[in-house]
Amino acid sequence: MKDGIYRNTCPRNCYGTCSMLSYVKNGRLIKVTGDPEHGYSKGRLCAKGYAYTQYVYNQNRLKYPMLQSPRGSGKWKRITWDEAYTIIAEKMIELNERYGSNLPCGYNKFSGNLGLLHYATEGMFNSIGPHTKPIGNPCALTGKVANHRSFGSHFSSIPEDMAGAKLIVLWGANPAVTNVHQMKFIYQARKNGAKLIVIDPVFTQTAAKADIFIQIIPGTDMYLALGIAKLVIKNNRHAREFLESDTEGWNPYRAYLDNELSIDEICHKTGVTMQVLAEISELYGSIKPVVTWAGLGIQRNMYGSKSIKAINSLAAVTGNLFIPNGGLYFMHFNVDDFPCALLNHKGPIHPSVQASRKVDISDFANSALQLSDPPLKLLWIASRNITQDHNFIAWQKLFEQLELIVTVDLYMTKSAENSDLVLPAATHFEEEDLHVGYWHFWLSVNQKAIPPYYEAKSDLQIARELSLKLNELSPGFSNFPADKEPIDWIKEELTPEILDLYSINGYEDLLRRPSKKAKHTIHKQNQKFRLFSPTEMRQNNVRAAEPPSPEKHEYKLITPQSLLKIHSQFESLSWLNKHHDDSYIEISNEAALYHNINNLEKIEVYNRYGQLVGVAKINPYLQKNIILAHQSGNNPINQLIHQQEHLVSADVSTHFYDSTVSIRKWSEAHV
Amino acid sequence: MFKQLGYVFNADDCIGCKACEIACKNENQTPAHVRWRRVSKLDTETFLSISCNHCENPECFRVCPERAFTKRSDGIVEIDESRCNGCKLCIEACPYSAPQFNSETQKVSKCQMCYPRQDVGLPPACVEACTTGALGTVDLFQFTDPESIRSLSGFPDIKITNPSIVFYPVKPRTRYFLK
Amino acid sequence: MNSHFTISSIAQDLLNTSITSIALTIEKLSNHISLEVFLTDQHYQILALSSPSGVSEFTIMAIQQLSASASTPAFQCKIMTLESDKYGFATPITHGNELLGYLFFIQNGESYRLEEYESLLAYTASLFSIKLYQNRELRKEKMKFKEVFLFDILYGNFKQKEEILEYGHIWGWNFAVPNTVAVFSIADFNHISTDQHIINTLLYIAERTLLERNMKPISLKRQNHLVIIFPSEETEQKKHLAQIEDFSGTVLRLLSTQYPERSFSCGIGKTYRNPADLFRSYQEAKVALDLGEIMGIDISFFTDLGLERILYKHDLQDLKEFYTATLGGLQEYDNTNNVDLMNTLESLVTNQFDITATSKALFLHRNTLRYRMKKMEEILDMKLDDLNTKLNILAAFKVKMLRKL
Repeated sequence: MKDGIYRNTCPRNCYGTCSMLSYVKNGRLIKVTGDPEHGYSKGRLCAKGYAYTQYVYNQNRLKYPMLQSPRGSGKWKRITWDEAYTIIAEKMIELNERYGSNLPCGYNKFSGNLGLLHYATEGMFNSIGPHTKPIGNPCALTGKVANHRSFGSHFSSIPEDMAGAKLIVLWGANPAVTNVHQMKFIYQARKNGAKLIVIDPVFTQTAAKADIFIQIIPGTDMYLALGIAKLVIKNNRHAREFLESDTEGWNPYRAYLDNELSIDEICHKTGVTMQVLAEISELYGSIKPVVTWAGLGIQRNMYGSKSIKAINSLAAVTGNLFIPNGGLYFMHFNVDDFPCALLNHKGPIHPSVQASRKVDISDFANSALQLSDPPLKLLWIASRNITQDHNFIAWQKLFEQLELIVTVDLYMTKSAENSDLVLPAATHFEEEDLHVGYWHFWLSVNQKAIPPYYEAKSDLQIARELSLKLNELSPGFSNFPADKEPIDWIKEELTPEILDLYSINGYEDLLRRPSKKAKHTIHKQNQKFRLFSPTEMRQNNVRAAEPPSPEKHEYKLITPQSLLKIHSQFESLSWLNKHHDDSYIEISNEAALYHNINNLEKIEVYNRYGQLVGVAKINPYLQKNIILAHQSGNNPINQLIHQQEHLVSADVSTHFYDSTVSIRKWSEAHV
Repeated sequence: MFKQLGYVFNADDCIGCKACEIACKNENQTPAHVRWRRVSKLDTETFLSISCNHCENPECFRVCPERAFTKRSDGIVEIDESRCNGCKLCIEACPYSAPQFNSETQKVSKCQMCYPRQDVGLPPACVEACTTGALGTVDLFQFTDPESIRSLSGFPDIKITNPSIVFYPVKPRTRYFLK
Repeated sequence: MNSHFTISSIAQDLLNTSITSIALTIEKLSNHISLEVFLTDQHYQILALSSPSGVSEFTIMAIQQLSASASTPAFQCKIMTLESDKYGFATPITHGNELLGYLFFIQNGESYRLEEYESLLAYTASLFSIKLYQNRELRKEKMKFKEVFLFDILYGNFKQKEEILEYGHIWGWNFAVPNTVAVFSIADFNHISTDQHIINTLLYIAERTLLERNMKPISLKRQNHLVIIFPSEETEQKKHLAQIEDFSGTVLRLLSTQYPERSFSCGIGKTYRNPADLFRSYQEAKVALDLGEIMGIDISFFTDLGLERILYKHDLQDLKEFYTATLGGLQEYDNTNNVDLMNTLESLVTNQFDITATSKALFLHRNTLRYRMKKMEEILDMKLDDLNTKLNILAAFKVKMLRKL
């Protein structure tokens, strides 16, 4: 690698997808900065981004392939890559011989690195023919499906345009923590007279900056959105013409609001008073353009789909959906525009097994356990730490059944600790890639800036080399095109259609600067907007999750993102996180009083799925029956999260915010 | 000819994202415990981001037995680490915890307002990193915004040292908490 | 004497003189019109003065404009000085948009009309404009180097004594003798308002006071304060300090006559033999200045403020506890019994626990004071003649004053 400045893209599962400049000297990354050519982040990074030199050269990074035997013993032995590939390939071949197909082999891969070339894991498994693969999206699927219902496609407005709004309403979004670069566009709007309203059960950092903060009972956004729409229509402030001619379901929607939903019910369900409801309705009805932003948290409970549809409909009712600087924000799936050649790589045909088995990633362990013919025997974990999933009990059972667990990661995560083999992954500075955002509309490249850290390798490199090993031991086992270089895969993504969408001539243009999708191509209306359907509302949630019981002093567990981590990523960087940071459990004044818990006292949080000890932090703004906990850490809070099976389906996100817990003062007697 | 470069911190705009603090580490590659810039909370909702305030009357400077500190004509207070004997008198003297002791090198270092960057026309790394524009630099000899204030509630006493930092306070907001 | 003077008769003469000397031009002008004439800078500090009846210097305190000319910038005005009020005509002297000074003709008792003088004022103002502008540019150039040199001394940028001695010679300053830094400042300085002018006056007064004492001023104007480096010609430190105190006192007195509504103070650092250490004296002077302001002392010496400095820096909560532990009982007694023993005790401290001096100051009979002291000893459960008790009480009162308890 030559000394100089390279263009990289932060590949984290984050709204920013920030292009960044990497300063390299003597083959070493000496500092990073934002990329001034990137129109969204505008030359800035977040705290995590600025810590990348430490992320790359951290003592705790995995350096070599390692084998643990027995699994979970902590007895690790350094092995060579060739030994690692041999162990894996031999196991795959043996399982294939034992069961007659590759169905016993599966993977669990999610959002650790969102680069298009990280679909190499999928490509690698595709190339061995039918296997066991995860489907779905634990994070945002409910919202995606709901938006498809509303718009006929995914829909999210252009972030930079928010600067021209006159009213910005955030529903359960906390950009001050999770999307810092959006704040400048919000402030810009505010400097030009816009108002910022934040609706959230939690008094977040963004709420603290809002002109008006409205606290709401969690999961009731649907009622508030419907209630505001009801008043806007009642005051004749709705976009009558648009609703009558360009939407579907206007009459039933209106009739439902007029006749079936009372203001009293809305206030009762949401906890918002009549005066506040009137105030926000007045603002929504009288100001234009209004930005409506539905945060991801809204759709991580069982009412998520309805809430998203109701919020979408509110934007439609007020006539803000398709006007400049108005619109609706959620996230988009523009990655679907790309060929995603690795993801869609076609494997060899199996004589008897038609297709791969699909396992819902939102309930992976439990679903995988149901597979019996043949059972899942080999699991490959990449870009994923399963402590971010729920239902740990099922995971434990699954581990017992598995004969080989391989984890590819940069650090010794909890998943890695439970594996037989760990393979050291490259950081994005050590590999090539291509990135498309899911919030903004910029496309950017990721150059290889430095040599790999010790023996680290990219997912693509591992796919290439494992495929070679498989074919060496069993000719024709894999049809992975191992000779293709990363740059070939990148160029394959940049089809003439893509070049046109992003107004570039080729790969080389992206080395000079990131490029934004042409505005007119962003939202193509292919159907009428569908309003919230009251029939859905009338279907009773007969089997609704049990809400926390105030009599039993139960609490709803909410686990928002932390500022200086993304799930368990970055947690071991000393610049960002200290060890004690993750164990805080925030409780309300009322809960502290009832359980006689003092600030910074040790407490236990428990339910039937598990228990953990943390340090209580009394949050005076917290609703009395909510508990806030940070994700990841040594004792992951997700062990208390368990989505009931009857609420799991292939088109919902994981209900991370629907679990009920109890608390008590810590005492040795409970241990 | 003389300047007093200083920081402007807008508490109303700061979201506490700590990009400034880590951008400083990124630029200067300081170890975790050497914190030239720090983001902290003054009260439940006011953040403060401070570094060395390049005081008009730097106490570090007065008490240093090795004459390690100097003040440039643009107001930046520098420390020459090679003169430092690690006595920590400056750390005791500074109300803002600006001088930071490095336990590995046994020497004190502190924010130098990125003067090598400023000398070539770039803003300090922390200022460049501030995504909301809450942190800036100005020449306080020229700065005259009557809306700015000299201190925030909870900020250390500014008498004697006369720190080169001015503030904008947090504005009042409407909040509807659940009953 | 109510005659018109035509410019043509004197224009050539004035023009020739103005090229060489401002003072001579003023003198010529005064002779021509038989009036007192003087030139000031933009802060009304007199640069040159000439009068047919002989020169006597004065300080201008304020100018009040009475009426303005319709055709020129000239105006009729009242000139208030420390000694008396004068009446006359004036014109601003400008270069481009920049104000450089004023030219004044003083009436000598008879009544004159502005129109008679406005063309002469305008003409001479243009002559002085060129000269003042040239002088100012020259001075600025010289000042730049001087200021950089002093800045470097005061901020410790010279690490070697020899460098300072060498550069000092250029300005005729002797840094081989011990020096002390004094800092003058104005309370509630507001850099947005006209307070900058006051600092300029401060500089003028301080330099004049030094010149009167045959000392070459070493001074640096900072944004909100003035720094004077005061060389010690006395071998005896005590005398040196007395000299500084006397000098500072004079400057502060002159200032408060000129700006009676504002308050000024002065802080004085320690004396250093090595000029490379003068930056310490400067910082000390500023610490003394700030603490002095808090405690209401006009001229405060850093060396006198040992305990105060320690107390001021100490943790406030801890100080409050100490104060309550020491004097809380007495305060409580005062409150419940509606008396003011605190005041008595404070006066005792001020008077070094001297009963005679205290009773005099409080207009109390000695026995009454003795009785009160006994009472206080009971309340506080301490002996007032114990040195430890005295120290604690003294410190507690200092805490009260410093931290405004």
